[in-house]
Amino acid sequence: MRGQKKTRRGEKDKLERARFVRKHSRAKAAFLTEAGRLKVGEYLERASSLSGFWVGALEWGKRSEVEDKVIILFLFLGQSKDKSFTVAVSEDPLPRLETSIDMNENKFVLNSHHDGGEWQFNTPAMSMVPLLPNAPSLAGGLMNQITRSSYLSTPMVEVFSPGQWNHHPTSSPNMALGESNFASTSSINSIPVGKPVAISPRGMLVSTEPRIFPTSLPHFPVDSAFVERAARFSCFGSGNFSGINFFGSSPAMAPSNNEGIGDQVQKDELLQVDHESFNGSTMKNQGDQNSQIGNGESRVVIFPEDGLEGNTGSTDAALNSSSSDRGVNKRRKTVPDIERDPVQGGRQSSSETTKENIENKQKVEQINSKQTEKNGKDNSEFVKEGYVHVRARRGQATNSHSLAERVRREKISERMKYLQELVPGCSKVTGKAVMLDEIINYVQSLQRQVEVSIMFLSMKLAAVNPQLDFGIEGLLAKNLLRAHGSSSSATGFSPEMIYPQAYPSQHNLVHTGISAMASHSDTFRRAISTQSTASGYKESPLQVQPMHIPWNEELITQMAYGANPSNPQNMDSKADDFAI
Amino acid sequence: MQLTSSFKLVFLKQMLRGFLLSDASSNSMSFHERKNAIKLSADAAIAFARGRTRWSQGLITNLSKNEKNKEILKSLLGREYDNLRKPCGNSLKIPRSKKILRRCLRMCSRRKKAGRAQHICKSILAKALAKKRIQVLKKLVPGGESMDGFSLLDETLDYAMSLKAQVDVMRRLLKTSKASLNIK
Repeated sequence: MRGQKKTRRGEKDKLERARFVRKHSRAKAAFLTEAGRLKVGEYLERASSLSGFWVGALEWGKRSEVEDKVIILFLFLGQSKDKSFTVAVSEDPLPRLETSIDMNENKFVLNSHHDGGEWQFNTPAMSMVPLLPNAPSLAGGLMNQITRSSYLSTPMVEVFSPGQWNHHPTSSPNMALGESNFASTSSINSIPVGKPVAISPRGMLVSTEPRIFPTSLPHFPVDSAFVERAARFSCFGSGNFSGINFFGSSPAMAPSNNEGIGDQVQKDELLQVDHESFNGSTMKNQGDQNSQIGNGESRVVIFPEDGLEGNTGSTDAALNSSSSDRGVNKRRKTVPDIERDPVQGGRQSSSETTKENIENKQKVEQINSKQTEKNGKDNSEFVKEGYVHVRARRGQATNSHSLAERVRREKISERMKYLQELVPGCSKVTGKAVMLDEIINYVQSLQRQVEVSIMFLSMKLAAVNPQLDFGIEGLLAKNLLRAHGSSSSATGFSPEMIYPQAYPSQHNLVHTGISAMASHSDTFRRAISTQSTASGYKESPLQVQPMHIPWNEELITQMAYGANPSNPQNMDSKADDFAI
Repeated sequence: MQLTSSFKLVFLKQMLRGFLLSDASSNSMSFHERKNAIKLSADAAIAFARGRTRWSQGLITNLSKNEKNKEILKSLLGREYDNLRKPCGNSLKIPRSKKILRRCLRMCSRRKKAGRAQHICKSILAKALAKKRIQVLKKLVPGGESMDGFSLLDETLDYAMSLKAQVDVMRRLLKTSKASLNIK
């Protein structure tokens, strides 16, 4: 029952998608008919007439138990000279298989992430027809693989640059082909590479294994977007691969953007889950590959969709590095700039703007949490001058003044971040004023600590063992008072300050001196309390005398051993101003 | 980032040299004098150890205002004294950029006024608060008056780290001297 229902729905979806794709594609992509079957051979013939870009869908055999169709989609990436292809296989809802077709060896290597194992099918890559007969075996093999798998994960289709093609970095954790995962996917193109193929499964295979779906996966409201993306991916002008900039599959992002940031965040999470370690390598490759795109070599580099993530990550990195460069030119060649170079085609501008939106959003989130009000509305326009690549954010003017100001603000916020790391306990604080407050407090406390240390050092250096007459005590107290008097924070009197006034005047100064010191750190209080009762000041005057002599060294010891840099916070919270 | 032990060693060495030079450990000094001498040594040492930064230059400049300290500083710092004493050469630049900033602020506020009324108060208030605090910070950081927003934050960062190092070293010095006293 369930299977049937899903089949029906899946078929309907497929139908829609097929129609959609048909409408939009420029015949590069082969799409499945309603029945969902297409001979691979047909595909290939059709596709081979095109300039080397194929999208093929291969349908594996039916599962006999359930009427599920396992559809594996291939994307044959352009033709490299060495005729190796990477075939991206996406299954819904899960994991990817990378297959690399090594034409030279006429082998069809199927890499599953799961264990990096490879199945090799000795079929000539060019003719996939023989695959069909092999399909059951392949499917069988896959199914075996699946049974071995323990968990499912997002279907990410990754296509790598030729350099990577025969080796898939098993960076992503999503491997396993769940047995149940060979749900059918309808639309082809689906190679929103790397984008979670959230096509509703036409039928779920019987899965007896526990499924671990990433929480954000199931049924993204992405289906339509996915389809559009797929469509766009499939719309490759024949031969104009330089126009294909898959980076971040940015054309596909426009629809996804419309779904709101929530989805994006979802995707981001997903992507992060899957590809966090992957970004770096892909980004680097990206730079390389993009430069090769314009060769007319129909080599298309598709980066995983967390190219969204990686894109922004790299752009952020670029921006960060560049923003730290305070050159006069404000020259910032961000990664999108690099990749924009080989890009042609009008569609790219929209994709770039959407990319920028995302980048900007990410940038804003990461860099400038205080300036969120600037990112409200429509698409950003970016400054595409030759030298100044300062990007205008949404809704901002792009004249030089505001640009300069923006640069300045970004610099400030960057530094605030550093300072946040430095100043203890400031990680949660946002906002300039509060941060500045914290910084001021910290610097003040550090300065006071220095003062105290100097004081003690001076006492140490005094060759004469200090006979603490009251004169010195008074001096000490006054010094400390003076030191504190300049401080701005006054949080009231600490209780210890009140006590001295209750004492006979001759000991007053002593206590005041002690209490003055005590205000600097908790250890003082501890020291005092260890020598006397807990309050430290309620002792009888008689006891002051014996305390009087050793207090110097004891206190110094306590202070030296006990004080730690985390005290500044305490110090600030205690009274800084006190009066004798 | 800079709180390496070598940095602290340099600082310590210089400070001790300063103690010697300023004769901080003599009996003849009063408490205040000794304290000032130590302070001088410590500050000069930290400025020396840090090298040429704005705040260190400002620090040395401030210290040199007292004539008595000058000789000590000279002998202590040696060649570095002149380098450190040189005031930051950007003092001319700052007023100009302030003008531009003010103009930008005015434009910004004008634009904001035209657009969204309710945001005026917030932004202006925030700016005022931030300004106040920046002023306080300028007073704290030596040589801070002649710095503008970014560099002030930079210098603050630097200065805070150096202060931390200073406190660490001095405390350790105290500890060891106390320990040595105990042993005796």
